[in-house]
This record gives sequence, structure tokens and C-alpha cells, in this order.
Amino acid sequence: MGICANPDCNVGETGNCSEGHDPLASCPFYGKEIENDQEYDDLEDEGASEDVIEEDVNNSQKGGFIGLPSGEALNEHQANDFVWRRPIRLIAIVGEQDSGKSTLINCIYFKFMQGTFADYSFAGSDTLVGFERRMHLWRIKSGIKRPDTKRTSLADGIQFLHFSLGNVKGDDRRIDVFLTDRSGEKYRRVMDGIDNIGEIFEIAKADKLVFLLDGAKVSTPAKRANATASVRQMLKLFIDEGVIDKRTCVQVVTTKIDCIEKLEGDDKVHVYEFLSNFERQLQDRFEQQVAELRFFKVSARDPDNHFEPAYHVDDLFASWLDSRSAVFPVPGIEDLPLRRQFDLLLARTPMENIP
Amino acid sequence: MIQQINHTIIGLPASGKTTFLAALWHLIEADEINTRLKLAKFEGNREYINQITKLWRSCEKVPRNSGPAEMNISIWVNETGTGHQAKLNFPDLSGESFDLQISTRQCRDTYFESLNGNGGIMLFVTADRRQDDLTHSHLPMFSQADADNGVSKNNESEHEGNAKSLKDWKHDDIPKQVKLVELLQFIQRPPFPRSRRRLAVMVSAWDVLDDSDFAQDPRQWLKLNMALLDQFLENNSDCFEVRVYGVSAQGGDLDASKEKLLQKQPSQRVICVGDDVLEHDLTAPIHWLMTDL
Repeated sequence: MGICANPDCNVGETGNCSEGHDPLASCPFYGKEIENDQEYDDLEDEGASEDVIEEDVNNSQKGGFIGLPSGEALNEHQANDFVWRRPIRLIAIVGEQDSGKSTLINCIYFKFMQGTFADYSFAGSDTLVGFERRMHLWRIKSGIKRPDTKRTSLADGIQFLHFSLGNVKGDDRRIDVFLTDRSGEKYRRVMDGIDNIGEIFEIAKADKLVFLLDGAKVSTPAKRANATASVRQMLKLFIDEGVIDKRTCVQVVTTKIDCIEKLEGDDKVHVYEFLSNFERQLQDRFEQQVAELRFFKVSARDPDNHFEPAYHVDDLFASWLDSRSAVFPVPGIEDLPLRRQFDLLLARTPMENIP
Repeated sequence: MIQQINHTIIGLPASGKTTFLAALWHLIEADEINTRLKLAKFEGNREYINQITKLWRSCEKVPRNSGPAEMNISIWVNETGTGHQAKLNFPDLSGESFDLQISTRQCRDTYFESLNGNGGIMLFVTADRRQDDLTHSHLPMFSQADADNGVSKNNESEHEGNAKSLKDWKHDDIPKQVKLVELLQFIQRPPFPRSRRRLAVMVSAWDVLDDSDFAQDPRQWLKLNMALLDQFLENNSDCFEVRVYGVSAQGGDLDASKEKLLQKQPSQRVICVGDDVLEHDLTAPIHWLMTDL
């Protein structure tokens, strides 16, 4: 009969492992002797803990273990560290609470889980855990009865979700994309003058600035005017404060168009007319003040499944990765005092100028 | 020249690693069929390998190697034709240890050391799987299902209903293909040395696909069933030179076909599908991993 380091196991008498391991040799304690319970606890705890290590211990060694990247969404400092290593496309997604920012990010990840998307293929991500946390309420295993997306918390600050992508059309070039995820409440606080516009630094640094217009509110008469006013006022504020200018590529994306499509007859026609008028007004008023102003209509996830996930998001996503550069060069960039590491993003050379 | 080559097995729990080892050991020890590699000698836990192989020969289910223990098994083999000899080291890592890498974001330094050498990687996935990334978008006409079940469309009661049934997220909820991408991404970064390795994707339980369109095309199976992993491998050819094999160590469903399987010579139960594979030859993927080194 064998011996076992587990003090609760009687394999020496019964021939059976108390934890059910069969064959016996597969038990981690079988054949070992332990002098005291403390050593047994050490053996049991070594590598057996399933508690998440919250601190990123990349490259650190602790008692026979090597730390691995956390995979969580990147914070400002981690994003800046990444930019030191590789150039990125920064897509700033801006909008009120519940306008669909996180859902839009989720649907792109969802599509890559199924295959290539918008002529791009998945080459990796530093934030797979970040994506998976956000996908939880979409998944049946979450136990949720109706799909939902967790609201981004104001306390989380800004987070960056990362894709590394290859081009399906055969170009060997890899593109790294950061999508920003910030609470809509923050943008509201800036609009209301409660918080400083400088705190939403991603606006000035973005390769594409994407305003989300909540299609569910547009489809509701009582909410329509305020929804469009919010986008208009944000755009005006950013221009007036100088955080965006003729170098900025701006997109206005009407989300949740499944809500509009579910309207009937004249109601639907009226909503689309309203949207057309709104888009025309934005063009007349702001087109000359930015590098480009484009409009999209998408349904990231229709809870009723009448629209496939990421409906028309492929065109939007492809536009984020096109090679259009700023119309004007960045003046005086060499004179900018780089006080913070993240100021590197201010000094980023447009990708087209990287040899 | 004797080469010492360390191959690393990566695979989540229940991906077929232990059954594969049992069948492989029998194949090269019994010498019943033509194989690319022949047994020279064995080093390691002989009791363990004998126990699992005995079960396999009897068409019994081979129990998983549970717990974080590492069973280091080394097999010296001769390469048929060239006579080259190599030592194949298989740290039979428990699938649980890979789950722990995902959840604790750390790995043992012995794992790191095993990947410091010149060997390849055998990445195990199983064809006999439930889809673990199902979303409500996969369900046709979900709203109709809601109506049938009397679920209210009122937003407030929807949130209440959701709150009652919702489970907290945990790392174990990550779909398997995402975990496998993570495991491969871990070894692309420091402190792991940056190198190009051969990677044999072993799709186990291949017998469940007997009548399907993929029966002879393991790469196509991977593309359709683990699309994220397939894209990742395609786009990281600078790190991984990939072949995909379909393998069935048991050769069939033990519950439904045990009597039929027992009629066969054990080696001839084995299924192995892929490039340059002799019939039943489980050594073919290992042979590919070690050639041109």
C-alpha cells in the first residue's frame, strides 16, 4: 500500500485515494511524506488558488511562479506603455449613458469570435479578459434572461480595449487598434461644466472621434430633440474649446436603428426625415471645422434578433482602419512640453509618416 | 546524433491529452503497425503510464490527470528511415494547471523552462465539445421565446428578472478558444524567449466527426469551430508554424461501440488524420515537430 502527504487520506490502509484520484499516481500527494500539516497546506495551496491576482505581476517571479499579463482593459498608463512599443489607431467612442458605447465594442468582439470581420482578421489582443467581462451579459451561461450590457462606471475612468488585426486581403501589415470605453456620465459632466474638458484627453488624441446618437431615443418623440441636442452640443463644445479642429476625423453614428425600423408607416418615415435634417444641419455647421464628418447608422445588438449582431458595423469598423490622415500637419508639436508619459500620444506621428 | 528535444503539451481539462499519451505509448511499445517513430527507451513514472495504457487497451475511459501535479514522462525514439534518435519529454501537465494560468495569471517556472528548448508544441482541443460561447444572439427569434414564456417586455421587470438569475463573471466563463489564444499569447511575450515554434493542433475525439464534411479536413474544422483561434494562428505565423491533426485515441464511442472496438487490434483502433500521416500513426505529429531541427 502507498503513502500520502494528505493527512486525511487512508490510502495506506484502504488502497483508495480519499479525493478519488485514479490511478493513485495521479494524486499530487500520493507517494509523498509530510512532516506536519503546514507543509501539506503549502502543497495544497501551491498553484491551487483560483483567486484572481488583481495587481499586474508581469515578469515578476514569486516563489517558483512567473507573473503573466492580466488581460484586463488597459488604463491610461498601460495604454501609454503600449504606444512606446507599437503605433496604434485610437478610436474615441463618445456618447451619453446608454447610447451604446460598450455594446458597440462587444459586437465587434462577437464578430471576430465567429470569423473575420470587415476584411480584417484577429491577430491578438492584450485585453481579452476585458472583452470577456463585457460580454458576460450577452452570454447564456450568465443566467441572464434578456441580453444586456453592463453600464461603464464613472469610477472606472477611461479604459482601452485592444485589437491587433491582420488584413484579409493579403497585406502583411498588422494594425493595433484601441477603442476607448468611458462612462457616458463623464461626458455629461463635462458638458454641464462640472468636470474639466481636459480630463477627457482621448478626444484630442483620437484618430477617429465617434459620437453615438441613441437611436432608441430618436425613435421616441419625447426624447428625440434632447438626444440630437446632446451630440450637437458636444461637437460644438469640443470645437470651441480647441480639443478638436481641422485635423480631426469625426463620425456621428446613430445606434439601435432596430428601434427605428420597428416603427411603422409614417412614424418611421418621419424619424428618418428628422435624422436626415439633423445630419444636414451638422454638416452645414461643422463640416468646414473638422477634417471630415461622416454619418453611419448601425444596430450593434438587437435584443429581439430581427437584425443580425453588428448590423452595418462592418462599414463603420472598416472606416476606422482606413488610411486617411489628418488634412493639416500638427503645428509646433516639437514645442509641446511632455509633462506626462501619456503626452506621448499627443506627439504621435501620424501612422502614414512612420517608415 | 542524439538530439534531446522537449515538446510541450498545452491543453485545457478534458481535451484528450492523457488518452493520447496512453495510446501513443502502446503504439510505439507494441510495434503492431508502421509508425514514423519507434521506441528506444522510456524514462519517468512507469506506474502511471502502465496504469493508463492498461485501461486504454481494455477500451476503458482513461481518467484525467487531475490536480496540479506534473507527470514528467520521457520517451527515447528512433526516427524510421534516418535512424536519428531523439528524447521526447512530455511534461503531462494537468489541464487544470492551464485553467489556473488563466485565472491566476501566473505559471510555474518549470513550465517556463520547458519552453526554453528547441521543441514544438502540441495543442489539444476536443471535437466532442459543447459550444461554450453561446449568446442570446445565437437563439432564433428570442423575442418569440420570451413571449411564449411570459417574460414581460416592461424594462423595470426585465431588469428585476435579470438581476435574480444573473451569475457573477469569473475567469472560468471564458470560452475555451479564447483561453487557448491567451495561453499562446503568454508564451509570445517576455520572459518567454521569442522564437518560431512548430505547433501541432491536435483535435481529439475525431471519431465524433465520422460522417461530417470535416472528416478529412481538420484545419477546416478549426476554422469553423474555433474561428478566433484559427485567425490568431493564421496571423502569427512568425511565431507558430502550424499543422492541424484530427486524432481519436479511442477510435470510437466507448459507450456505444466498445464491443466492436475490442475486436480490433488496439493499434488499429487509433485514428489520425492530417498531412503526411500513415494510417493509425499517432507519432506522425510528433515526427513533424522534430524534423528539420
